[in-house]
Amino acid sequence: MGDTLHTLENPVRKEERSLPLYDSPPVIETVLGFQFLPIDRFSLLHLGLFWSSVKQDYPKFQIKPPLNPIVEQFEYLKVPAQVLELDLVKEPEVRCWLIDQRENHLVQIQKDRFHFNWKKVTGDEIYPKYDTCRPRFRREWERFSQFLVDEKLGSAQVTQCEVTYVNHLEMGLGWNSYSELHKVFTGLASMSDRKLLREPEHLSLNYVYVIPGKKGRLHIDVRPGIRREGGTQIIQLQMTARGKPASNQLDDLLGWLDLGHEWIVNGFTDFTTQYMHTIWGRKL
Amino acid sequence: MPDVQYVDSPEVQNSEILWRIVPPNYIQIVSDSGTSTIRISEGAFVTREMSVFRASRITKDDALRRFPPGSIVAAFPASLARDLPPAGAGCILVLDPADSSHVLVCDKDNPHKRLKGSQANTFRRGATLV
Amino acid sequence: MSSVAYAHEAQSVEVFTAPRLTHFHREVISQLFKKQNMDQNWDGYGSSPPSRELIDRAVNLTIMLNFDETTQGQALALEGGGVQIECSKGNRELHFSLFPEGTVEYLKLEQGHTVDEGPVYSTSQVRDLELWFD
Repeated sequence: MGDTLHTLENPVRKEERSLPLYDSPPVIETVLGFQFLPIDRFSLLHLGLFWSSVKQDYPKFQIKPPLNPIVEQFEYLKVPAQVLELDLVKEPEVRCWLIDQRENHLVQIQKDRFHFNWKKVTGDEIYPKYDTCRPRFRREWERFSQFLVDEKLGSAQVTQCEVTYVNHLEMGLGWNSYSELHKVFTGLASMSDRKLLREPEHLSLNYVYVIPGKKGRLHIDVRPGIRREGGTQIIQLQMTARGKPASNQLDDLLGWLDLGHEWIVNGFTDFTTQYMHTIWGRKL
Repeated sequence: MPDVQYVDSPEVQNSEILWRIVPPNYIQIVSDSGTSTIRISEGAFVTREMSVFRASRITKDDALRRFPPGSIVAAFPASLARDLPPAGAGCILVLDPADSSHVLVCDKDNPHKRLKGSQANTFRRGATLV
Repeated sequence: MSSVAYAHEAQSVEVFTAPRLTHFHREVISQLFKKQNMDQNWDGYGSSPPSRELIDRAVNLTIMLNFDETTQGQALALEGGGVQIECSKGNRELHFSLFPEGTVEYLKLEQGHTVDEGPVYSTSQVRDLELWFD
């Protein structure tokens, strides 16, 4: 595991990568993104302007409520006194989804966030791999950054980098009930020997791991759900790596995404069983 | 249907058999002690101006032609539609002026109103699957 | 309460999650979501598939029902764009029909015979129906 630890703590050059590889991983969506200090003068009009500049690639859009900031803190803060604040909102805050024609790719923009999503739509798509998503994310981020400069809005000061992988473990593929999830996740024991607590009605699992050097955290969330598209009953395994980049330089920002990606892929492999790895066609 | 008078058509006699085509959505296969039974939901009859065919005026193949594969025929006598509750559904039978094999089963008091669950259940219980 | 909650903030794939879903809820909700992808004229009578909004209402009604794994549940589409939730246990059935115009109706069956029916207009009425059913 020594080489792996080295890999996890430092960005790895492409030719040295030895991350686990799967033929058919259960990943259904990936999100690469940055949070940044709010761009004060960034308004609804700028969202529309930006969209018009990328409309050829992203002809569809949706308006969503904004996401709250989430910052990985490592200093223990004193709990502040409760203060009631009243903010006068000048204009509604929104998040804009810019969606490509096939709806596999999505750019999410709000005044303090930029995300790029890939997702399965038909179910037949093959996950394009991080090495394909990363340059596309870079292209979109650079396009957005240039837009900010052109509109004299300055540059985004990134505070957090974030990588999320959403995996859908479908009932019937390796497991058939919640009492069988020891077949899926390492660290769970079989319930068959129990006298009383054998078939749970519901479960949820949450784990948080610190990325060494306080570079961030890996969050693992497991919960049952029903995918709206197709009504499939699933266990959703969601892994999010989030942390502060070394600087606002693009290389450091993308380097943090690489680190987050490695933690997610290695973490996914650690967290799930060899039995499931076989089902997913592990190659490396 | 355009130009239709929503009144009961005496040409459709009480003894006549009517067919309601039931798409697969409403069909359940129920297994019990090794035997399987086809059961249909009363939802198959929950509609306004329920469209049915006169068995004497159309073949089963022709009746099923425009419906999804796996659809089945639920057959019931016209009297089941006309008789008042609890024996029947308390409906009128409106003949389609453009197609003598086609009939609309409509609520007697308000022909354009959706049939109630109890009326639909009457049809479900009284129908034979053909 | 929104009936379809994203499990993660930046996620776009829609996944319904709730703190407590029994086998009954999961089965019915799964079948409701499947109805969204039905074809136009799925029944041969020209019916549209149920709308997203109607399915959300049906999901909201489903999660209100305190039924466990002893209750069988299924969901089916109705002619004209409605949906029906059918609950069965022993010799009793309780059906809820939701229609595009916003109305909801119930039907009580015992050994297949109609016991009662009517519009659904309040949460407390749903609780009374549950009491009869259970």
